[in-house]
Amino acid sequence: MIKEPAKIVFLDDSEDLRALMPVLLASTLKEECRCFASLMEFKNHAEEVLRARVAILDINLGPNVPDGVDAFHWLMEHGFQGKVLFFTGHARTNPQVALAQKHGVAIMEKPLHPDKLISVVRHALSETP
Amino acid sequence: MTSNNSVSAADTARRERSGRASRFYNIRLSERDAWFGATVAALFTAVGMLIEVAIVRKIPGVSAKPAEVSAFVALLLLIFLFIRRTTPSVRSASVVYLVNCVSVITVLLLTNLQFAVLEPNWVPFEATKLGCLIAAMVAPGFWVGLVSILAYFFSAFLQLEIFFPTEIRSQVADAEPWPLLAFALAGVLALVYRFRRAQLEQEIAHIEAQSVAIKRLANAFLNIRDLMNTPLQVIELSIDLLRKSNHANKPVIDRIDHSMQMLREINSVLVQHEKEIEWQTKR
Repeated sequence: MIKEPAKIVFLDDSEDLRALMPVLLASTLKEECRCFASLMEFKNHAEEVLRARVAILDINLGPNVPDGVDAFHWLMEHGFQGKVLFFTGHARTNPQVALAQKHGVAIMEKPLHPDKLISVVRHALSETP
Repeated sequence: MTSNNSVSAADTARRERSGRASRFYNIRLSERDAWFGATVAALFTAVGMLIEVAIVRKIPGVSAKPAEVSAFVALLLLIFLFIRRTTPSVRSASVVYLVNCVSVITVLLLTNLQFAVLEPNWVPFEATKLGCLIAAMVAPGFWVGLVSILAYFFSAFLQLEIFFPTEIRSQVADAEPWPLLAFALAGVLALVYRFRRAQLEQEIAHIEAQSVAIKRLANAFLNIRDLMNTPLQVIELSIDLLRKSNHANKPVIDRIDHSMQMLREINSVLVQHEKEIEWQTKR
């Protein structure tokens, strides 16, 4: 039996969040979530990432490494058809994030109540084929 | 509390700005600017008096000694300014500038009448008028500049009124003292304009420094929030998962949730200040 690819991919440098997010989404939405720590990891799993329906991207992925905005551009360049959600600590001040917002990208600011987080992800899933 | 503080801070800033605007005459030039002004004045006197000596030698009867002494004094002042150039001060520059002024005014008082009598093409108080304008341009402080302009004006005015014989006065300086007064007023206006401009430059520098400090603070807030928000999110998710687990210890989770609520409030205060700083930075 061929395993279904995860509908949700999550890019964040926090190991704790990467551990908790799949548990939360599996328990509430019954959806699998694949987590990645860096854009490099993201690219290494390009096929799986590009088939996902929702990509949740942290912006700040650590010092001197590509950030979530770079990941967003990479997804757009590779024809990602799903919904992108930025999940960040200081979204409003990044001009590139503001630019991405004009392209329909939603922004979630940490810390977000789990119910709200689930609601946004559920809505994003419902908007994608 | 926060908004009251913001209002009072804005009021204080406005009062400070209006206070500064009405006290342009108290503006202190930088040590280097004051030193440069005094140096230009002394150099101008040294060169000017040497030219005066050359002119005087062609007019029999006019003594060259006052101009020579004044050129020598200016040279001494220049040497002093050069030696002390690494430790400039506004006070020393002002003293040097005033000594230079006294030296020039003394020469003019000693030679004006001789020129008026012996030189048919003498333009009345030309050097005095020039002194009024130069003082406005290079004086190391507002009050020093004003005093020197008044000294130039009153020395020539009193000389004209008291020491000039009536026939000489009617021959060579009939229109005086009005042109002299016009130059003195022009000098005062130029001086006011120069120090008003210096005041604006200092205010701009002050505002720019504040803006840099605000941007640094804004970045610090952003970094704090960025570092804080991911752990807060982890706690949020953990509380939710614990609450939904089969063996949830509700009282303990409530305690954590309560503490989490306090952290959320701290975060919202930071967000509020961050917005204020962004707004001030954009102004």
